[in-house]
Amino acid sequence: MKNVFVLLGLLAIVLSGCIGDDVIFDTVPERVSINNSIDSLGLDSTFQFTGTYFNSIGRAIDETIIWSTSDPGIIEMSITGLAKGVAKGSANIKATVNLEGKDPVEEKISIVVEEGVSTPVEVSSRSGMLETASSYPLTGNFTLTKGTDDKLSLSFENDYDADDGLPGLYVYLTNNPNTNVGALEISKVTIFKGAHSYTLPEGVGINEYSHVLYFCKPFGVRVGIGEMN
Amino acid sequence: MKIRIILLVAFAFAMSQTTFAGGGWPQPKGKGYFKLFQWWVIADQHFTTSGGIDPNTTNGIFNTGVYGEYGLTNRLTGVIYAPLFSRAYFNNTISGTTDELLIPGEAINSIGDVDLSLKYGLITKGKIVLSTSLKLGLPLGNSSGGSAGNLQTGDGEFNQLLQFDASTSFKLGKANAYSSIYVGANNRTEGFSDEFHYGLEAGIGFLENRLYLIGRVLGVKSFKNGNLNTEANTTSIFANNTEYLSVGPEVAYQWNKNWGASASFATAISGSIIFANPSYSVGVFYKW
Repeated sequence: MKNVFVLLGLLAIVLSGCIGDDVIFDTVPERVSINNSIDSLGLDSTFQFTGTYFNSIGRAIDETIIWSTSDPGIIEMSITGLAKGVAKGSANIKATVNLEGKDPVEEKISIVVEEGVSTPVEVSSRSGMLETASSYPLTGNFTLTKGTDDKLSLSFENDYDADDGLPGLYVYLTNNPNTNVGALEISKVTIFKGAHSYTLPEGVGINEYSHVLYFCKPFGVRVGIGEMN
Repeated sequence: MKIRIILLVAFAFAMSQTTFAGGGWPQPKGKGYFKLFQWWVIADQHFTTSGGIDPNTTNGIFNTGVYGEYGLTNRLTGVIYAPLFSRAYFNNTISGTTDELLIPGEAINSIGDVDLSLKYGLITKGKIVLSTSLKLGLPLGNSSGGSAGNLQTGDGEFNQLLQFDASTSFKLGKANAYSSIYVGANNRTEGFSDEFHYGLEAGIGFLENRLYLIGRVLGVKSFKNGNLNTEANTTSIFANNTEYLSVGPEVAYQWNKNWGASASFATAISGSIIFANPSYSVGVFYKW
């Protein structure tokens, strides 16, 4: 009889190997990004702004963005983002997303109205520095660069140093450095020291992501991050 | 009496983790035992390459199987370790912000890797006994299960472990006691690094040797002569270049001539690319 009880106990342990839940802290600040900034707006000309709202887990969400201006005497602004320069001078325009029960999320840029055509802000590169977010060493400066063919490349400098003892290490671009969910997977990491670069797929915008993320897939843990300026 | 003590000590070894597999004592011809065991580990953290401890997605591995020893001759013992049902899983990942399911958990079930050993008693009489054994690790488990290939019930490689065990029995007060050490070299294939295995174990019997309390220290050092870890997609007990030093107690109780049960746990006190949570084992055995 004792043997039967022991066997039943073993069976109970077998059945207890069920999938549970791991809750991760993945909150990031909500933000609005103005997709097509300009430095100057031509007098009497118009420009249609667009923006993207990223929610509290860094995911792009289709929310209504309300556009406004700090000085309607210089820039007239429709609620949908159509701006018109009506007088020379400088004014701020603001993109706002109103969230129920929360403070509104805003992004502002300063624009000069002057004679001539509107001048878009040309971002050709962004840079940052990797920092470890774990017990695994990870350092290095990097630059995200837009090439003449509009393709992006992510380049790491000579000071790049990563741990080659970790299984399944991958590099991503992401708007949420806490997880690889929703991130753009660039490559499995096979280079652990020195300068090297990756070419990104076509269609990736230089302002589309905020961070470089190093993530170990088998362990399901972030290894390091680098915020892009 | 001395033979009885040695048999009891050998039995206590057999109750323990199969790494020791009876220490330096081979089974007498025609004698042996059979054990049904359950071993498991549930891990939400691991030792990193720098010796630190980092969190990871919770992984679980459950092995239900049999372990047996049989004396082919008075010096030669056949040993089998067979996890007949092995289950590996990882948990769901849930957003703490939105409560949504980010990454669904997965599980696989299969047979695990099977070890077949032959142990030969080099010195079977005297204060210290010595044996050598050759263990063949058969890769019958699943080494790349799940949608991402990172669930394993085996390492996918055929390995050969050559091991030497030395043991002695003695009196501790009125109680029977024993101690044993072993060293081994594990030749691994498929790009896995070879390993040096070592261990120390001591046990003491109570209640007319029906109850044994056992303490154990086990270690594995990698020669790091295989592929880099990054070329694999595995974690912890099936990963490459893992190292650990573990300690753990075991209690084994025999309630009649043939039947008994044991329970143990072990926890790594240092390591590299290995789970940092304790493993547990329970078993019921029959010996003859």
